[in-house]
Amino acid sequence: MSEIISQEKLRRLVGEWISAGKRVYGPRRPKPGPVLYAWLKAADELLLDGYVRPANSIKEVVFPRHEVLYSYRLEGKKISMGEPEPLSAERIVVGARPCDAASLTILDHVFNWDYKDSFYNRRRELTTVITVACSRHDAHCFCTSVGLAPDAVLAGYLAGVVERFRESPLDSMTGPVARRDRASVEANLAALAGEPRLTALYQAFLSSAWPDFEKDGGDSA
Amino acid sequence: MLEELRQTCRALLADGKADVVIGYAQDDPAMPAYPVFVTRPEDADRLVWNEMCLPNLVAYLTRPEIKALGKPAVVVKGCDERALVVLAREGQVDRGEMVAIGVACDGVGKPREAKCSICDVHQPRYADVVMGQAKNEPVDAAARYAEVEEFLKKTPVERMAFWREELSRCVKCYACRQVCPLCYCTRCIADKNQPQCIDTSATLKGNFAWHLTRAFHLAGRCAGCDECTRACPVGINLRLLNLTLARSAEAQFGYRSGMDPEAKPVVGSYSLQDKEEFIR
Repeated sequence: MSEIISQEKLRRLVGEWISAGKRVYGPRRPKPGPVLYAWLKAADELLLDGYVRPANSIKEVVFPRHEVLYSYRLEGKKISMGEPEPLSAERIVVGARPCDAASLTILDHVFNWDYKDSFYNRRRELTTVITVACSRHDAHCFCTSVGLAPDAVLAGYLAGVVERFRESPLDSMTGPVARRDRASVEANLAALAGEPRLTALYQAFLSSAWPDFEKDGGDSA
Repeated sequence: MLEELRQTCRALLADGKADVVIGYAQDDPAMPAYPVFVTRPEDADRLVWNEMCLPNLVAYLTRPEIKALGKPAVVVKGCDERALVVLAREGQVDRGEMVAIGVACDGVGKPREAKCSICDVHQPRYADVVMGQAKNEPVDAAARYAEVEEFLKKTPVERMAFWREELSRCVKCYACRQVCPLCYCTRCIADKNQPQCIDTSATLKGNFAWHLTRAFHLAGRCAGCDECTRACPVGINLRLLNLTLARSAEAQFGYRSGMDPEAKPVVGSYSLQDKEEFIR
């Protein structure tokens, strides 16, 4: 079954979300400068065509550049700690590109393999992503090279990560932080091994980075 | 002209006058050319020269990994050559230990880069060899800084609002620094954290701190190649910031960076005739 929504009605819907107190993030009309994903104050700021893709990504919705993690107060020798108000506003990303949406499953792993990041996970729970299929591309687009497609939801993206990993096994996924100590490396790999599509990644890690890890004099006791 | 360029580079490598030629290569004629580092005479055919040769290759001369390749020869447009003049003046490159291969240029980019409309260095002036022929017509200082003059018509409040909007987009990727031929410090002040002088967060405050610092460190030095502006992924108008400082250097000191290899740099020289008391 497929449904069609006109731009006019989509815009009306976005307007309703905004007036209902939901935070809406999407490609914004430039003012001036490049088209960027940004928090929309009004539905008519949403720009759905006339460009290939925004210059930034949707990462900021789940992982802002800066945020209050805690506060503290010193009174004499007494320190009182404060926690920020829990987030509650629902967030809707509208007009995301399939490549941006696919990145969220990667981020989920990053923020949950050693430590469950409550700030990330809370934002993720509150977020709904609505993608638009791409009808244009430019010479910089490479989604089909990493198993994605202009109209994909998530399918096949991780296969591309595995390929990249094979070329450069010591990249960010296995960098110094990930290889900090044996226990966390094993925990990370166990988390990955549950995913059938990540089996190749797991194998590649064992065959390339793991011997290195021991030579580095990591915590191998 | 292309064959002449390839032939020259092939000869430089074959005769041992250069160990590496830093030039342009291209896969897709519609896309900007990219840098190529040719070390074998038989690879000289990879070199190209056309209006899509945008990068300023002079930036590679100061990099340790490129220096490790040996004596360089670099392909320069007239505007890139200005940066080379500054590097030589600042003691960062020894002109006797390198070869500058000039290429006459009618302008680059489709559409043309903003710098090309006010260019007065189409023909390289100090290169060791020059390919092709172009004419250097003088350009009026008023035309050179027309963008700045136009911007200065706005009120200070409007100008601040403009920069807030521009700089709020910065993600601190430092592409502007990496691509700049004159940002050659091996340890940038933005990367020093003891003490930390520059707020490293990508907030509006941190972004102002970075961009003001970057601009001031290039005051009177920036040769106007506009690579920072081209490299910026979020389209910040760094050109306007650079032009503003270039305009001051020309108006106050009659100095244009990279135009005259003998001229004393505005920053890094002083005069007893200076009108300011503190400098004497």
